[in-house]
Amino acid sequence: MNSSTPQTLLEAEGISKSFGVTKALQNVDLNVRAGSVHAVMGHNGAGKSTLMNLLSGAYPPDSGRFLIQGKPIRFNSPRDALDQGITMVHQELSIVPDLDVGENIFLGREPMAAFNFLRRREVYERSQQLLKEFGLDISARTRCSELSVGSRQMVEIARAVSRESKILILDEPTSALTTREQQRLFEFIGHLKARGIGILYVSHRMGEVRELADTVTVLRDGRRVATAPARELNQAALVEMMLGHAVTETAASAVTPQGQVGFEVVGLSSKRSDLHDIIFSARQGEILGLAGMLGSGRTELFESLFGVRTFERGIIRVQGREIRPSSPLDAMAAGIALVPEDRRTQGIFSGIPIWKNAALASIHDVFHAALGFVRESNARRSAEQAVERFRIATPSVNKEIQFLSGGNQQKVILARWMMRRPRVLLLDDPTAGIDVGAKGEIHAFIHALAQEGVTIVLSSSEFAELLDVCHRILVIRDGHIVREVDPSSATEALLVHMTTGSETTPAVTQPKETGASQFPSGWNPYPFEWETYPVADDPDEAMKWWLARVADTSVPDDHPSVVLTEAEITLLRAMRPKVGHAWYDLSIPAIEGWNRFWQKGVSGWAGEALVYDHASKPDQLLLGTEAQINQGLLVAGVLSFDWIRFGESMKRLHTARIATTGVATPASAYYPPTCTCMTDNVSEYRKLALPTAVFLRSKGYSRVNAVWLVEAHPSWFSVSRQMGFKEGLDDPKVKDICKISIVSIKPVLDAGDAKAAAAAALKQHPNIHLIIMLAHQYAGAAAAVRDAGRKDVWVVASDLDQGTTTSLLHGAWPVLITYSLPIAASAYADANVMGKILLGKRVPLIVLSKGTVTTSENVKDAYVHDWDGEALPWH
Amino acid sequence: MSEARTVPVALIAGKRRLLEGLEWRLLFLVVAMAGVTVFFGSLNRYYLTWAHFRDMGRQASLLVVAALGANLIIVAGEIDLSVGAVVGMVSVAVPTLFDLDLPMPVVVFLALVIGAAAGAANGMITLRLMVPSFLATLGSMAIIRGIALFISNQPRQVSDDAFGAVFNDAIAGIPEVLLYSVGLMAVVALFWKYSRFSLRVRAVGSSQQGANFAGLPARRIKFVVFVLAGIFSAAGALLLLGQSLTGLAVAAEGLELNAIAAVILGGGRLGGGKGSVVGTFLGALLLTMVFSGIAGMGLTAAWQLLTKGMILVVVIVFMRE
Repeated sequence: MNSSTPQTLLEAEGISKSFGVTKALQNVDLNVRAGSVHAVMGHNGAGKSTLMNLLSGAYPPDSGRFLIQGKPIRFNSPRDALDQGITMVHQELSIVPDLDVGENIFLGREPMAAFNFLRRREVYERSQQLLKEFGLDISARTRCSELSVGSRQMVEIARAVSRESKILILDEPTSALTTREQQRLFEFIGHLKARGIGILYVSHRMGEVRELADTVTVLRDGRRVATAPARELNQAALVEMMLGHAVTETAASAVTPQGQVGFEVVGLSSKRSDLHDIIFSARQGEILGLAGMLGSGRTELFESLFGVRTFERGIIRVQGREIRPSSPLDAMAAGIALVPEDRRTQGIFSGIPIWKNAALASIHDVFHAALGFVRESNARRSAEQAVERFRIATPSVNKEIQFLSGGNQQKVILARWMMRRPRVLLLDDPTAGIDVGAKGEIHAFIHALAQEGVTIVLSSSEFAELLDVCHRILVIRDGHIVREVDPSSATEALLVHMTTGSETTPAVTQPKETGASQFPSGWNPYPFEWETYPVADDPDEAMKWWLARVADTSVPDDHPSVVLTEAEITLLRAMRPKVGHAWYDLSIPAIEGWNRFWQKGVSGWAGEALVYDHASKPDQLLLGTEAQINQGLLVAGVLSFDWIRFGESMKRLHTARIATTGVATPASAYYPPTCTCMTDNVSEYRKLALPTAVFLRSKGYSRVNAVWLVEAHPSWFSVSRQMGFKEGLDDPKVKDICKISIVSIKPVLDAGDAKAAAAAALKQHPNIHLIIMLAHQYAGAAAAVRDAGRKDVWVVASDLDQGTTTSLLHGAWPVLITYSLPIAASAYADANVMGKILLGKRVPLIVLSKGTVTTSENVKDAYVHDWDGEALPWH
Repeated sequence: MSEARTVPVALIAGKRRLLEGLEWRLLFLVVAMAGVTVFFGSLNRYYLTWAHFRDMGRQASLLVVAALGANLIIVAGEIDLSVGAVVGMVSVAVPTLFDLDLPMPVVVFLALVIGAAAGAANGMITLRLMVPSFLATLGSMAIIRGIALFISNQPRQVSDDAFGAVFNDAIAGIPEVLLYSVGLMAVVALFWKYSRFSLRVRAVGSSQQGANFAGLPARRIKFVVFVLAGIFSAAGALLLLGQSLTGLAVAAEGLELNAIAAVILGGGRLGGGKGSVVGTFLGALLLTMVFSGIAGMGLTAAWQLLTKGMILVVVIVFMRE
């Protein structure tokens, strides 16, 4: 043995094994070196499991031999293999659930005292020591049934190592793990390698094999096709080796189909299934992805849509027709089909032939004959056609389904639903545990169906698959649709972050570069380290921090966080703004100290600084709010500290007869980076009327009376909001969903004003269900609703910046509908701060935002709805 | 190389309970026993007398011992329906052996051997012939009853004085059979808590696969469990004989169901992996108290049986793990 190469622990030479006439393995060689990971790949039936079973001593090979550290060895039982230092880790199966961790670790080699008694203390002390060595913070006295699957697996591996195992066989170890657990496992494997343990890693997941393995052996039809260092193999080569031929990828057509809406879900909620206000719609021919971890509500949603579970609220429409499925039969009658998550227990009926399995969902109608008889020959013929169409590998439709491979079984399930010609096909992780070949075929089939106009909703535990196959992807977490993602710009890592709600979103540390970015290059909207602010974690702390910061007079007026940098000033000056519109605040005396900073900051770049504060009586500048809304607003050269977007936005502003000159300061200067709230207000708010209507409709209202509270000051972006929203409400498409009639318009100054106005309105118009208050003062409006005890009244709010947040902290409120604006940073900041702070207050918050924008990782009870230009999904 | 890191406990999804479920159950059983005493005591003054308690103790001894065996079997993930039949067979075998003029210790030993043999037979059918224990012991139940009737279809009297002294007497007013069953329970409980064997039985019953992977001789363990259960049944028969000195081939009919119910009351899980010795003991006592109370209510035999059956079903449905 060459001493410079790592020691070979295990060798298999010329291993063959047959079962009856099936040659499971033919002349397979393999060797595993100390401290390395050797991956064995191959699709189902390639002989992976047989090889692993031989190695773990389940049965002996027909010919060939195993050598351990150069010595030939023969196993007659798993015990022999164990004794030789080979341990197979079967997805947590070898853990005895009713025993505790320590008992499990020492089971089979218990330290003994007299009378068959155990040395219990020794068991626990040594186990705890072992767990600690592996960095597992688990008590040795924890009952294993209380551990997560991932933890059980780690305990299992730790146990194997404590048994002096030199070789670990990991058989599809990640299949039952969450992403976080997978990452822990990978770390753990690194740990094992460092200990000089040889690992045989069986998997059909390319990504993880390439990440982990040092060497890869590919098996096909019981033969070894290749063994090569992992870094020399690319994915295509691997797939080709596994299949024996190249696969042609069937990527989703880049263009989202523009057909009719085929499937709509509006405000579906169920306490029991833990689903909250699910809203989405998909067109005919669209493949909509649903990305979520186990337990995210993904399966519950599918089952609710299919009538397996009941839900309390919500509307489901299939091609425009409203249905309320209370059983799968109802859903099937409406044209919905579901391929369930667990093929083995929910999909196939084992012991029953293929053709019956395929016909089962149709015997009550399609194949129904008189007197409860079944048109057997028709069913059989359909099954035969399906076998051909789906290329199901079987000699006959009479074969019992359990004898097929997983992929072929799944194809039979697909065939079962295709016989019903569904309009909507729900696929819950249809390719789980299926080999690459069959997977490709199923994908191709999904595409073909989509082309025929079927609406497809697909979930997958492999996000790469969703990114490949889907036109759009919804992210579901904790029973909420939290985001919508464009597969062309998203990555697997991003989906993982979103679905797990990881602490940090890539968008925070490195704003995603997309075409939608409105910031000039080099412009950092967040000059601060997010982490250094207590903003998020504890609302009370955040509040204290802010107030202390404001009260801190020792911060000089020209503090670098207040005054712009030279570069920024140059940029601003180049835009030649005529007037700097500095911030003022009417409602929050706590932060009045802020104004001096703004004056200083603005005068650095604007020709003229116009600074309002709460003493400047802006009501005297009032131009007549109602008139502004109805006639549009002409303001020349008005600017705020806000960011006005370039390009398209500017053009639209001009069309809206609003003259602009440009530009912004970092709103985050001095104050924690919370929000820079700017937009082309008119067109944005025009669009935002729609989700309000959808929300109200989901609550069961098709007509609603509303009171409109208008912020009474002449800033263009306040008034343009009103303009846009009004236009939106007047849109026939919106009216069609919910007609919102304004019964009264009242100008308000501060939150107290808004509260009084709202309270009066609630008295005067007891039949209103909506108060529109598109600025911070909504806190007052909401307080009035709360005080009136009106749970059937909602407040439409907007303009959620740091000031708003502070004001929100002063009171509790009912439901807020709030709009986040489609700039990645601002939407994120909005939602994040609001979510984190409001979360502590348990405010049901609905955030409507452009889909491609990162929003809060913490907004509970949030809708995130897509807005893509004028193309509305509710045609 | 990465250093060992500590995972936040929250990730490990372990929930800590203040008290183990089993302990709540024991408390419940004790409270239930008190409740039953009050209930039947209020219906029938005799229920509260010392004589009646002594009587119940005597009756309970058989069920306690049979249930201890059933507990083992159930924790191992099996079931034994032949308990009553074995008791019947041994109860007629013992007087027959005494008739052969064998000395008392030899007879007692042989009785236990007969029980062990019956258990071994159950084990063989289940583990060698791979018949599920439910079916295996359903069959052996009939066979063993047949053998018992073959030995004697008449009640058989134990004439041996030594046997009477050891089993039919009382010490300080407490029936010997009760002392034996409590003593046996204590020994088993101790063994249950601290022995390797009990750990392995729980392992085998909880997850056959897990036990295999740990290299445990699962079949051998289960076989020993079957044999032990047979011995417990035989011991039960000795206690039964101690109560009346009369053996009867059809004695202890339906005992298996009562034993299973006692195990379930005590926190045992049908399907294996879980069971409590003290719980089973208390469960057996509680059932005996209830049955005795029902018997004292002056109901007809039909009503008594009906009530008992319903109670058993309710116990199995509502008290199972």
